[in-house]
Amino acid sequence: MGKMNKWQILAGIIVFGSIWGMLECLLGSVKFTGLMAEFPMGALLGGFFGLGIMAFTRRLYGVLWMQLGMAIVAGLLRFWAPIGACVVCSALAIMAEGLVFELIFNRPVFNITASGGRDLRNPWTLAFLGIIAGFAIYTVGYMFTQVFTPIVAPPHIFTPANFVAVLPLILGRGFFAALFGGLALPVAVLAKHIHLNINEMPGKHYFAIATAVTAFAWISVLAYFHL
Amino acid sequence: METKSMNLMLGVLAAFILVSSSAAFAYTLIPRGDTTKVIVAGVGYTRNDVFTYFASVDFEANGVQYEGVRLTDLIVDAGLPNAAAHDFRISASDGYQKDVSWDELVNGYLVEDEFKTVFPELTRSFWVRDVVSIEVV
Repeated sequence: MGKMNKWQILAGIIVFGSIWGMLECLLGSVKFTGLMAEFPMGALLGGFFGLGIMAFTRRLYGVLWMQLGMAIVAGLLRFWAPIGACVVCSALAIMAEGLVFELIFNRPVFNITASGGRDLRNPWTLAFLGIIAGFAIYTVGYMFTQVFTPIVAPPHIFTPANFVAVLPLILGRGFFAALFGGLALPVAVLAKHIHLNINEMPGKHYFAIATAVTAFAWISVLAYFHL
Repeated sequence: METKSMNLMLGVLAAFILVSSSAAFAYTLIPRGDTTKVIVAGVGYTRNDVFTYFASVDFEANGVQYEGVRLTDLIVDAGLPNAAAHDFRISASDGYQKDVSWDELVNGYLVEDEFKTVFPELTRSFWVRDVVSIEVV
């Protein structure tokens, strides 16, 4: 396929954003009981899947700001899953997670693409960076929902005291997101067994696969929540 | 930046995040108040009292049928004068809290499952689990 054009990048944004959105919708609706009742699913979604998919695509495509686009697509898909406190706020929180990723990984020193520095081939460096990024992505997204949910949904009043009270919960659950991030980033960046070179894939195959996967993700969510 | 110095910087920051967030997590596990009862406007009711002495009503929220005690019945029973003029803070054992006005409280219930509040007309962020107190703000 050679050098990627803007349509191929756009297709990548849509397909990977749809996969991410599908995971958010389907796994986000899972209700654990018993010993698993307190399983930190939000931390897994943000710290592992969110960060992992964004890091993997940054490595694969090497395009800055693409991950914010993916977060927007994932957020749009989230509108079709009526779960949680406020669907609009959850969708905006996913987009905020994409923005946090861009703010961290657009810095040249944290360039995780193939053209990046040798430093970022060290698994320990990636694990440390994953801990920081997983924590930041999850806690910012969570804070975002706590600020915007009371404003967007009834009673339309943001109470600072309630936000302050929930901060230990946000930071505490961020611990799990940090751990998941410490696993996700090295795996996504150093996955040597994924011999997937987008540039070598024939264009028609690329678009056909992207269309099929995107359709699968959207149909899965629509069928699960609306049929 | 050299690999060694970058690793050191990132490692210190990552360690700080892990230590401080695990401390925050441990802090949330410490119950705020007695989890066997609920304090309503200064008056204590055991969880058993709530569902023994107050009439439960059936209601629907988010397409699910629930049975619970009206929050206003608890406030009235606690003897708070001029209750409708106040706002209330619902607090959970893990520190989570939500403030509601009397008008919102009128449509709120306390249900046995997870000892949580349910507000059919508000978002689920107002569904406070393991309620330990409902106090005047």
